[in-house]
Amino acid sequence: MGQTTPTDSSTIGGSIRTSQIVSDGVSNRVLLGYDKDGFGIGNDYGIKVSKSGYDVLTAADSNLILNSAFNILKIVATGTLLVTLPGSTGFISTQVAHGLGYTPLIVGFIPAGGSNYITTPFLQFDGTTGINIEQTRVEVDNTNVYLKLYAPVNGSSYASGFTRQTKYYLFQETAT
Amino acid sequence: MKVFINAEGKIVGSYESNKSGVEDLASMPETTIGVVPQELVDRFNDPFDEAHPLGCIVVDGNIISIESPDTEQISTNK
Repeated sequence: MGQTTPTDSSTIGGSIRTSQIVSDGVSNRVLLGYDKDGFGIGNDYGIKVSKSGYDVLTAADSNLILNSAFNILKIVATGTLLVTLPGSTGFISTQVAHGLGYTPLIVGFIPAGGSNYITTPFLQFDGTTGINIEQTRVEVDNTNVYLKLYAPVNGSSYASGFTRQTKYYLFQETAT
Repeated sequence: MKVFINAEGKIVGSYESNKSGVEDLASMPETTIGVVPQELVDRFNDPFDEAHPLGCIVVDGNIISIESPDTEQISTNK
């Protein structure tokens, strides 16, 4: 770690205003604490981390990796679910209670073979007829996370026992 | 982390929260009958262990299969 130096140690109302700056040896990269109006007018305290090569004390917001003046998505839970199609066509859904007590934002991914993942909702169409042969999606309400697989017509290689799985993330931020 | 198992011993889900108490409130998926032992959860959390929750078959608390689930390859022009 580079040098750490205080940038302000003046007092206000009996309290000492301080901040710490961490340098990587070339640029000031991390600011922790006091920065006059550094987090918006009248907001003087927070945390900033700059991109490599940029001085955290002067960098534009676009050159900051982290700025506590801005909210960020916060992952509150993650999980996996798997569904098995009961026949060569049909609808199957599974659910798990997430315990959060509110409707969180959700994103879900499904394996696409090998090490690839694809975002949901996933739609697949027959290359010859253009007919939609599969819909797979994740859903969430204030109680449950759902993985739903709908195969309205028989795809060329779909068979009973066909499975889809998902890796999902729930966020502290609510959907409403 | 909770890892859920169905009647056939197949692992069909997992749930993990970093918020205190939330994980305890999570229930099992409707197609499951229980959770796997903590020793297996520790294996699934080990990045150097080849075991992955989904696709494993568990019998009497032991992994007897770590084959990938029978998930169809996704193509852009099926």
